[in-house]
Amino acid sequence: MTPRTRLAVSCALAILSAATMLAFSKANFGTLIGVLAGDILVIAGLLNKYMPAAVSGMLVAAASTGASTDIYTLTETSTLMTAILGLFLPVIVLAWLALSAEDEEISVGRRPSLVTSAYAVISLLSVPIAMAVGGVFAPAISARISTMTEIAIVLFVATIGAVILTSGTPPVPKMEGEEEAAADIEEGGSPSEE
Amino acid sequence: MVSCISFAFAGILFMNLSWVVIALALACMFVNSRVRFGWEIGRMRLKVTHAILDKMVFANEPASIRVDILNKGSVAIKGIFEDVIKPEAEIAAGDRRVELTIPPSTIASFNYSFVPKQRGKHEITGTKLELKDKFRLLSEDVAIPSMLIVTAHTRRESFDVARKIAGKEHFEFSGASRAPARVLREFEFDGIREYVAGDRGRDIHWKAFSKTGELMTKTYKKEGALQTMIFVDCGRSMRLIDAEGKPMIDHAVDLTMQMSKVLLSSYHQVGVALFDEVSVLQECAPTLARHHFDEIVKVLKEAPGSLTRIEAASGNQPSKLAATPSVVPVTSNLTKEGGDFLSAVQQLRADGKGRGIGLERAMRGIMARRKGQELLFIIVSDLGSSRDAVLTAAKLAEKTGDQMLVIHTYDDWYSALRKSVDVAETERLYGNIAECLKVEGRLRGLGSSYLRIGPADTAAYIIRSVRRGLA
Repeated sequence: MTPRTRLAVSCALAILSAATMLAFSKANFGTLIGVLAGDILVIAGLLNKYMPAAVSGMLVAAASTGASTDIYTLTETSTLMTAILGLFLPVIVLAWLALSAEDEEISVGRRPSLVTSAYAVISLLSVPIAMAVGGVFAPAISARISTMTEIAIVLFVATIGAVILTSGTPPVPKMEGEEEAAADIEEGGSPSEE
Repeated sequence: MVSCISFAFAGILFMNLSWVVIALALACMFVNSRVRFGWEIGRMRLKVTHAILDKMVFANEPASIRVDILNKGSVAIKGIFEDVIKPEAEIAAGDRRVELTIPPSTIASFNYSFVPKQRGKHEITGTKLELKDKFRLLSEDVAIPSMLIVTAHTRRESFDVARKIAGKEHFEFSGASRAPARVLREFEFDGIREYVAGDRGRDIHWKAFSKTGELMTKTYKKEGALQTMIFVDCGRSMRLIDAEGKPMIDHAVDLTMQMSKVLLSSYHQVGVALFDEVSVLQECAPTLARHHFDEIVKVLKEAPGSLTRIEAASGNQPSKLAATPSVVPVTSNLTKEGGDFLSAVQQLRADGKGRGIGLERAMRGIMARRKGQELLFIIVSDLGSSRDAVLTAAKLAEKTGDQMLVIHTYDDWYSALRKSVDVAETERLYGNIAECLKVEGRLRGLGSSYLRIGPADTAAYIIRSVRRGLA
């Protein structure tokens, strides 16, 4: 993918995310202005390869959408879909674009993406899972969970997951001896000079 | 991360899950960044090699270093690479800290040059890599070991001086004197060798040229010429200098190189050896072989560098030449190790077992190969930690009928001048010179010549002094 194509795709994704956010939120004038301003900042950051502007735009757009979207439970399919499609995914896309604004290429590692996806799914579905577990152990009790409890469950699971996944120290990189490397170069052909 | 926490608080404050979902999205980005960073570091395979681009590195002159970084891993590496050198080394050109992106199976290189401030070995211990994750949220420093030792020779001007005085000065006695110390007599034909640029025209073998068409040079040895061996003391006392003092070891190396050049240019066989308190570090036997001066330079290059000493907080510095000197009068940057080492040497000396361990062995080796030729030993020493070894060597030379010249690098003359000279300091200096005179007397009593020098004394001065019998 050429840099120009990549830039065009990134801008299109930013516009699509903003449109999705507006579609799922209560699109009043304030929200419209906030999301549009944020999206313009993100696109400007992408065009100028300037990450701070893009990140600021992402935060403005996310905050505007968050203020105009009412989600009081994650146990209903409609609100769950709104949370995932109208908020979670657009914010993820915008954040990804904004944080990669200064990079030449966007690369996705398979294992990190799988781990992150699993973390996101477990965190988002933590409330229905908690209710299901509660239903298994106490089927006679009518489950009535307040919004605050749902917030607590989601944040608890997200925090615990983040701590588990990020607590370890990075592995030590392999630094080779001169003989091994020389042998490998001879076997595998000459590496190119930059 | 701050934004994530802020959105989470907003969710609690407004009791709205939409803020929490946004916080969760940002947390996902952070988790992805962290997991991906660890994953990339785990797959990193790097090899860093250093190379010196200059054939010879001189003190106070830029030395060019090339750094090759081979990325053998499966992921591209983007980071800031920084070569780890001593902080006192000054960067002359280029940058030792560069930002590079290295795709897999690719070598990237960068060059820079630094100025070694003093003669001796300078270590480049490796390269530091500052990594940042894709989103620049996390950073990690990785040390890549790749040892390179740059041996800096003495200043380039010393070589120029050696070249200049080689054509002018000579050790041979040429006038009336009571002690024509190094009288060298007639030339005697020794053989022929290939012509080397700089050979005198009168030494060219013109008959051979007419037959073979190649320039050959006749070489001569002098009848009764002295085989000369120059010993350079590399003991700890020679290497220790004050913060503002002048290093004796560097001066000794310069003088040795220049005297060797003068001797070789006069067709005297000359060899060089470096010795310390316990052993001979490097040695090349006396010869007149082609490129022998290069061999001498190589040997001298290996002479260890100087060590800066820091005066102890209290107490006066005792005399180096005291009968029972305190061999750890100062705290150096190698305090513990150096103190233990010097104590061990002191113990050996007290037992009488350590006399001339290195120097005596080397002298006996030369004597065994002399083939009946008279030998001249020149010892450049501060007579500090190697004083007994030098005295033993003088006895040996007297016993075998060989000649010895001791060039004493007098420590007090190399030390930094103190602003105020009080009574205690005066007494110390007086004590030192008194001890020095005693040692001089003992050496002269053993038939050796003796010359006391300071940092301003040149090879030309020493050679003239020897020729005029002043030593």
